[in-house]
Amino acid sequence: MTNHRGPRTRPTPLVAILATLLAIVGLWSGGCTSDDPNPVGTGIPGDIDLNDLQVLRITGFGDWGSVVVPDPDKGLAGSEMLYLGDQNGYRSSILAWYAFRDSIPDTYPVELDSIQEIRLRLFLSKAYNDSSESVRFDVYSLPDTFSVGDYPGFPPVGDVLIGTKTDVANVVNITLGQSWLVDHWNDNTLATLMIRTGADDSETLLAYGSRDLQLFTEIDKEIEETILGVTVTVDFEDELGYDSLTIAPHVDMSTFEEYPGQATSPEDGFLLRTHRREYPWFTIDLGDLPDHALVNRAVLRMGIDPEASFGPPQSLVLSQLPYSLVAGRDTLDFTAMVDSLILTAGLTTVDPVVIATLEKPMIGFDVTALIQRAANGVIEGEFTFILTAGEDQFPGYDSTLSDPEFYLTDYRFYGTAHPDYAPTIEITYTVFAEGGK
Amino acid sequence: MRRTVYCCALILLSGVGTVSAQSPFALVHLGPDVSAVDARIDGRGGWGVAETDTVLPNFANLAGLTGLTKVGIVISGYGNLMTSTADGAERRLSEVRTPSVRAVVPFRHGGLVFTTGFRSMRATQFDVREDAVFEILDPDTGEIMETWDGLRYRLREGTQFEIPLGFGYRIHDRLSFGASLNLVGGVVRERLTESFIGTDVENAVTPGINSQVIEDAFDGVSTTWSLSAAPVDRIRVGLTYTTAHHWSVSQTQDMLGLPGETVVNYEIRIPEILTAGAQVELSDRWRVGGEYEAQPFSSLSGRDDWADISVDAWRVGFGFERIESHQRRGGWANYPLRMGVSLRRLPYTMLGETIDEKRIAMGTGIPFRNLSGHLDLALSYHWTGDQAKHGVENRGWRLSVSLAGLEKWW
Repeated sequence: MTNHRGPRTRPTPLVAILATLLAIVGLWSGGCTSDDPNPVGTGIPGDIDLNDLQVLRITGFGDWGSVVVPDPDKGLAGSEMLYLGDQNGYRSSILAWYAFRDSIPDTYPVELDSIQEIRLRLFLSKAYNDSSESVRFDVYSLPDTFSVGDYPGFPPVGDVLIGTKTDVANVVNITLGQSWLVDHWNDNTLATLMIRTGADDSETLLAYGSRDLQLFTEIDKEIEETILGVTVTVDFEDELGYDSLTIAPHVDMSTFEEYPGQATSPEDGFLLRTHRREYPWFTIDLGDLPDHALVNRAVLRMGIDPEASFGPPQSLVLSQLPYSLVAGRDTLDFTAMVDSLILTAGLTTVDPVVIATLEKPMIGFDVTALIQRAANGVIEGEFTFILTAGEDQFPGYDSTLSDPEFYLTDYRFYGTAHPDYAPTIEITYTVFAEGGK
Repeated sequence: MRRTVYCCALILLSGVGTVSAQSPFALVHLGPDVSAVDARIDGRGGWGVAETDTVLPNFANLAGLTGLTKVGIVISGYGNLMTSTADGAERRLSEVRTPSVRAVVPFRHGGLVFTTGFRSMRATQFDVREDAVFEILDPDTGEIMETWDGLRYRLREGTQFEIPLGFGYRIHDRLSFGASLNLVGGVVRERLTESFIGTDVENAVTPGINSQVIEDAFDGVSTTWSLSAAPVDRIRVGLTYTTAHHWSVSQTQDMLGLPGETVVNYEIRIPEILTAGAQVELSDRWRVGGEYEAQPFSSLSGRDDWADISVDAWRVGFGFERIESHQRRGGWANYPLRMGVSLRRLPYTMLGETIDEKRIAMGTGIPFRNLSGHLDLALSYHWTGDQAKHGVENRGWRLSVSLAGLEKWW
């Protein structure tokens, strides 16, 4: 044997040396340094590889529709904005009635020779300040009161023209015939009037503050704390020494006698409308998306017709909603809607005017996460997309002081038959060949 | 004292970490061989199966351990300074690792020994990153619709290791044999991540990243049979044979963002290993030796992607050693001196070309007082691969260190 070293030895401090060296080695062994990862080795074929990125483009809807979502707190008569004029298929007049006996103290001399002037005032919203349209306002006296439940609808046939004016001012003053007020005072009857724009005016739907306006910031500050709505101001003869009286209407409201509905086919387009909420919904058939697909990006692109759309900018929010809530229904309870919405994506301040300046009048929503969840099969039940405005439930998209019922904005989306701007979901994905659900 | 030695051994075993490779060659197949035997063997070109030294217990051949009269613990590790080059890019590695811890206990005055330990075999640690451009094709026209800039990051990591439980038995003064049962385990984990920094211009929607992980967990058992013989004086030969065996592999695949994972079970047949070597004592202090090892990896089965690139691996090494002396006032002449060269054929091809690793080494050592142990060092320089043939190459230094402790336990 080559056991050439003597086997008989005395105990030694081996353990101490061993322990010391082992400690050093132990410390060393924890370390490993090298340059950061770099291209060295990239040319070596690997054992795993991901498939190329694929694109699936889905145009057309599985099902679609729209729902009117009434606001439980504000009907048409309680709206903060009154709409007057016509634009893109809309036409609206303003109705108001007054109870002068309740509004004018008995000590005031309500007589023809005591009243210097009666002025009807309208307060234009700041959102329309840049409007340079000259509008003719015709004010008619109506023989009877009206029922708020009849509207939207055609107003009563105008009876007696009691005032008219063509104006572009933010605060419109229209002088009315004095006998209209005096007669109703004397008869102790409700005075009803209707304001319409002239038939030959260019198309503009203007918004004025109603008696229910709470968001005073939407009116010029110069008239802050003014009594709002379709007010009637009575100026008495100077020598009588009475201050002017401003009378707020008992009721004022818009008529919307012409009010566009949804198209009958998604091929022709569809609309989203605020003020009186009407929101479109649609389902997407993901059957062509392979199993085990990792969705790298999914974008829903929709084209907006800038010529047909109008109104102040709103947020547009895409959400997920149970299909059963909207299938076969024309209306959707507001509370049920907001309780069921699951936010997917949104855009703030979508301005139809700005859309018109884009190279492509398209907007897009990032739906990557939702499509991935759908592909993974983790969404319970059938779902639909619903497109809404920025409701309070979406803090990130509730970007304006006004809620969606405040202003009327109409977004017209191109239909599925449009050659360039049809709504499309474009899914970029990678197939996981061996795993997944 | 004995208890302390065992405690140290346990500390060593618990402190052993995964062995890092950090060579581009770790990106394919089973990864580079990191199974350093010990510094003494490394320093003389890798020949060791014919060794029977009892001051530096050599675990390359369990039959050579007979004759040992003390409990021995050997820890071997190495440090690397290596540069990997590919396409003009370089990456430098510096690391210290501990791939082997072995212990041996003698009985019957060394006629019978039992051993156990831990040994790292192969390691796959390496990560690469490259800039990438991903083309998005229009599904309707097939034309490039968009391009996304991004990064492709690939990480491969894991170690195959074995725990040998064996014995050596002396049949005759000139003949011993040994055997061990090797519990093989380990894992290879691969993660490919593609991150995209390109965005959709119209909507500024950042694409989600791709990240896929495949993990192969190995489990197998092999046996090694060893023989050590001295047919004539001054000549000793050694032979070891590790049987072909199967690794049961549980492969788990997972992709970020997708629910669930896929588990596939399969088996890999690892070919047998045959090692034969001889040493000649030229004088009392001078020896020369050589060794040949072969593992026919071309017969590997179970992984088609590996089988296609597998080739027979082999290793040949030659060297000489001047063993230490204890002459009074001997000075430097008392120190051991070792030199050797080795050539190793890796078990796989790259770009269709076989890969060789050439190594030149030298080493020495320091005995502890009363020959109660030994500290050995080996310094080697190696060349692996060729850029022209394989796209990458490694050059670097390795410093091997072995620490052997011996203690009577009865």
